[in-house]
Amino acid sequence: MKRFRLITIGALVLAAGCSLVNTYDDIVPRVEGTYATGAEPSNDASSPDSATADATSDATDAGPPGSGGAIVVSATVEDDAGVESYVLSVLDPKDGRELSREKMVASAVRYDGLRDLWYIFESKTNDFVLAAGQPMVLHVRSLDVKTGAWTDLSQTPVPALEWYESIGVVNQRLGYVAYVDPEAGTGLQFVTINTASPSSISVINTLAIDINPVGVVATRSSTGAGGVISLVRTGVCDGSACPIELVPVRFPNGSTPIMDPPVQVSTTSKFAPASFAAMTAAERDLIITPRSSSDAAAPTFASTFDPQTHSQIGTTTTFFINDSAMRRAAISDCTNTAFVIGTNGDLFVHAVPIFEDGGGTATSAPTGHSGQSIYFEPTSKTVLVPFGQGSGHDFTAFRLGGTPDAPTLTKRLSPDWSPPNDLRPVLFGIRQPLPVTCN
Amino acid sequence: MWIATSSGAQTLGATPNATVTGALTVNVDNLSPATQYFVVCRARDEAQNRDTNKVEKSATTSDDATPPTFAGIDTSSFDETNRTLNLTWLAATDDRTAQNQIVYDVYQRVNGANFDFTKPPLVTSAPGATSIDISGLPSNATLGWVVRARDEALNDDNNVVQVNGTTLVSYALDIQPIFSKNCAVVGCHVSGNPTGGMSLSSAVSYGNIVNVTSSYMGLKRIDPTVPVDTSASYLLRKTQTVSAPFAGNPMPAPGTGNSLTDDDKTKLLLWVQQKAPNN
Repeated sequence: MKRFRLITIGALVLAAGCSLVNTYDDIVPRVEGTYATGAEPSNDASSPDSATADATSDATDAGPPGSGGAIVVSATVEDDAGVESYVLSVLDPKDGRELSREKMVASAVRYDGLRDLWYIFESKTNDFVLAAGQPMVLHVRSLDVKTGAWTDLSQTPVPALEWYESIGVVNQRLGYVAYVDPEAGTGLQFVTINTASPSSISVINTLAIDINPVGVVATRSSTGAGGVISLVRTGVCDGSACPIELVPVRFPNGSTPIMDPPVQVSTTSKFAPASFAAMTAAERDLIITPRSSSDAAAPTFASTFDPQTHSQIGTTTTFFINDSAMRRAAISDCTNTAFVIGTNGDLFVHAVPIFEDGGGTATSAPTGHSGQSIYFEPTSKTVLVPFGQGSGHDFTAFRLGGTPDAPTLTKRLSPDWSPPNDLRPVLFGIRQPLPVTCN
Repeated sequence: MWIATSSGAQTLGATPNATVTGALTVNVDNLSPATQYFVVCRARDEAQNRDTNKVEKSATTSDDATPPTFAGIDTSSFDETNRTLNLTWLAATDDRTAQNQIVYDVYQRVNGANFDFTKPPLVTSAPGATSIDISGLPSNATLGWVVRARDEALNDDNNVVQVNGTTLVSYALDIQPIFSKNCAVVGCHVSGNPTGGMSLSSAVSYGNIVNVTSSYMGLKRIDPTVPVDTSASYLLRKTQTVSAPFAGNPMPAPGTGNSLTDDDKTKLLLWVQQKAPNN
């Protein structure tokens, strides 16, 4: 089987005049053997040694220190009277043990792997989802992964986040889709924040958005501030056929962002949006096109695109998921595996090898519940499929094993996986330092 | 808490005259007028260990044992939708307490329970008031109220003149919590990119469903103009499974590992039948 066309990709990147962050030496080529069970990307060196707990942190466990990774969880807890409130919790990926917890309504959490920073969008309402004009504060923080203690570097009022999947982190910049302040009009805008100085961030640009994206894929620049954040959206439908489009927002170093015209990369139907993910190490945008009918035997398609030129790379991968409604996918950069869930009809998590030749054998494992969101934690090789609905909630987790060609998923159970029972998960943020390094 | 009519006469080993949990005050009723009482209070933990303090406090009750003369509620104005109530009465009279010092206790009963005049009232008026506004009444409840006058010696009259009312299901208190817990969850009907284009997040849900046409069947998601016909409201079809056909899955989808409780379904149905107010 063929390896990625690394040289070709590199030539395209140079031709585009923008060198992206990860050197290709970082990428582990496809291997045929079972990969090691140790830490995937090494991340202990970037842990902030001087981090101290801020006033709101509340380490809940005096047990052994964390293992080096971090799962940051926006969750709810219920008091004895049945009243729910939001908390921000830090879990150790090694076993799910809680390292710290504080009260906060977190609408989204993102990790900046280049600088070991966290961006936490805090809703100043009682709901993690905001409406136009409602107050939001963006925290920039560092995290001591051994204790779960946070250091708050800045808190900045920002326009209300519209959608927790439409946030992209690039080099010294953060872009996200926000509501236009009602006093300034209606609709949506793409907000760019300069994060070069974590203690003093600021909104530096806004761009109008005509169609609400289902999410974004981001690729960082390695030469300076910026990169590319492509909005993933369902375009204007022609009958039942709706284009899946990428709308690139380029962040040239030192100048204002530029939104390019949409590029169609696939076709879907109404209410069947694309799934998507950024393959950071491979520097590709992954777009998953839902099946064309509700037939369980109808295939789903995964294709990768150059984040600069948006041209397809390699052969489309075919797999089967009994659902037409998918959300953002997750990626194991070291094995080139995509993890996919459906929202209603398909109660499995799917691990799909993504290779240029379209090869490999996808696998799946039952979750027992609908798919709400999915994450991959690299130090523990854990696929996280959290669930919280009605009276039920679960930190459903699977260990990735097997080979890149034929991955396996093994459910993590207690005592190997023992997150707090009282936490009802909402959204996660995962620590994934850059550049990606693999064993 | 033990009480006696002479100093040091409390029977501290016997059953206390009153016990409260976690409280810093206690009310003792039915004391004799013009009598001095001596009180000792001790703390007790869950293992039944008691402290041994003998700190004694004393007080003398008034010799006024005559309650005010009061006719009870005169008029009422009740808003079933917004759960508010206005009550008026004619001022009471008392042999010792001036009219402008008499207060009025409003007692409430809920869903057929008897009035309990031994417990603290729902609310107490300002001294001398002849009306009161009450808000925040419980939703979806059958309620009754009695107002009693109380003089400065804490004597209550004993009238039982009552008015009754039934509040509607509340969108904010009863319906939105159903949506927030079962529907407006990550990956489903939350603002941003809600499944089916319908957000049920708290800030926008009402405006997205009432009198809004469904994306699928041309039916309104909630049609308050035909409240008795559950088939007319698409959201009821999806959640109640009372009127086929559906488009897509019933909600919550069978595979989600979750379903609405019978109580949830009843509240939803009742709210629509009550013309789906935004309350």
